[in-house]
Amino acid sequence: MKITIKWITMAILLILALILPLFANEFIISVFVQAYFWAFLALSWDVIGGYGGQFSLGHAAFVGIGAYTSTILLESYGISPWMGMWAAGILAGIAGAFIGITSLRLRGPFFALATIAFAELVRLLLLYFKNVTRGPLGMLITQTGPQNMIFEQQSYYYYLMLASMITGVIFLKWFENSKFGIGLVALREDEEAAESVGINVYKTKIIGATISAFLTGIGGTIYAQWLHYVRPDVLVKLDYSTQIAAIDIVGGASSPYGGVIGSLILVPLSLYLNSIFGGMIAGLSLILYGVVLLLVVVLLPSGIYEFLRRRISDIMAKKMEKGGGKTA
Amino acid sequence: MVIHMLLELKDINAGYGDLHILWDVSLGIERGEIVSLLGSNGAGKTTTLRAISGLIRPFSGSIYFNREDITGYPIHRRVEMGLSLVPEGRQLFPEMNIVENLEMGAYTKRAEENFQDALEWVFNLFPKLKERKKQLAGTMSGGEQQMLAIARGLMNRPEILMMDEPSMGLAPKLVLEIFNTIMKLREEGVTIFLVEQNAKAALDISDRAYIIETGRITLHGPAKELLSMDEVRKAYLGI
Repeated sequence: MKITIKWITMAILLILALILPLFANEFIISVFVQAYFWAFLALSWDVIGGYGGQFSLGHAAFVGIGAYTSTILLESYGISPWMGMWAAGILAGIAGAFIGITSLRLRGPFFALATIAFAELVRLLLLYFKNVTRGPLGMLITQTGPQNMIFEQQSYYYYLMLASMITGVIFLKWFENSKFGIGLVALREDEEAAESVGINVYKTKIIGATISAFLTGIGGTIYAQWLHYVRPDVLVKLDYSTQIAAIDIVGGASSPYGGVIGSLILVPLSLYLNSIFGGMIAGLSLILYGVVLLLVVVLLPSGIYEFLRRRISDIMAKKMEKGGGKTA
Repeated sequence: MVIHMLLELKDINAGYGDLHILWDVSLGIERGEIVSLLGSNGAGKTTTLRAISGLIRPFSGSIYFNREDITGYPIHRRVEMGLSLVPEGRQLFPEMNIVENLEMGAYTKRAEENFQDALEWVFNLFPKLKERKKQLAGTMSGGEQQMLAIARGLMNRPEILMMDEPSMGLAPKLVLEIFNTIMKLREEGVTIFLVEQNAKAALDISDRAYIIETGRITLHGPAKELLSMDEVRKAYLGI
């Protein structure tokens, strides 16, 4: 019974998501485009940050690498982002493997610091190689048309982002039950215990970081196509890196739904606060946003998804008890 | 040099950074034996185990397993060959339940194929674990956790099961239960290398034993002989 209710809820949510562009205006749709985008990034981060427990604060670097790779391929070589996104993923994945190899022997805060430094390095390199990246000016995407992943209406981006996000959810569903995913969770719980059952801890972490970066890089391509331009200080900033991690943690790390829930709550909230308070006192909207983040982390430390899941299973258990009492 | 034992250490020097702990440690274990390594706190027992399992790299010396020099092998490769370690303090995966912990024990390729057989085997050895398949490891008592840790090590169908202080922190009755289990394991054909502070209990069930003091093996021989030696009785048995 519980399973059918779950599937019906999922089906209803999916249908609502699919028909939403028919009712909503361009602005509302663009809010959802961003929410789905951040959800996809949070799900990608979850692979190494949530399941693997390796706290990365440098994922904006992979967004940047992904965005720049496909944009350079498109603008300088005329290669469509539909192809370029795979190159973007692979290049971001290589960067992820690189940071994994150099930093994943570090633990806890030291790894987080190394990822911050890495993102900073990527930003500086993007600024430095002016003849390829056009430096601080950034690159404008001038090619148009669906074959170049450029659409006239927000609703196309909406479906593209929705598809990415759902792919991310399905991937994590599969991943968390795969032998590799289980190994990653095991090393998060206890590295030495994981080693003693024969898990190659170092290699597992590196592959985890590579997968996470690969997905994030693909996200970067899609985001660049939506923005129509790329610029180092717009894409590769610490704000973005922390935002990715915050969304996943608030929603519920190491679950296929946490990133989605976190993003659907936090992204509209931050846009709303920005539009209301942004013009009044500089920084007020950020303070309010920070307060909300703090409240969630203090009140629901295991994330919103885990909280909801427990409440629902409690209610279900009570109902079952009542039902059982009646029949007896 | 003739290597003929299942596991053999030759002149191992090891430690951490500048700290030299093991000095020319040599020992060997035959197939089917229970061998103990006894010593007081800080004598180098755990360091010896860490060197064998690959958690640390020795400064010099060699380790042979099945006549193969494994000194430079990474940990996971040693586990794959059938060297299982039941770590000190048990080190389970607390957020996973009993079955999931056992699944982790069968992570190696060596164990994967015979997973169902191995599961049945350890459930036969530890019926308590079968009753509570879904209990989280973190919520079990100390004795049960030790049982689970041993069971997890067995899932790999090890050639040698190495145990680091399995009796640590347990009530006398549970210690007895653990040592009975170890004897049962030997009957099942598992070779056992036991590292213990509880010298009396360990010597009672062992075939042979080594005594380590400040990083050097000072005595070794059949367990019965050691039990009757005055210096051993005074230093380790408190008699």
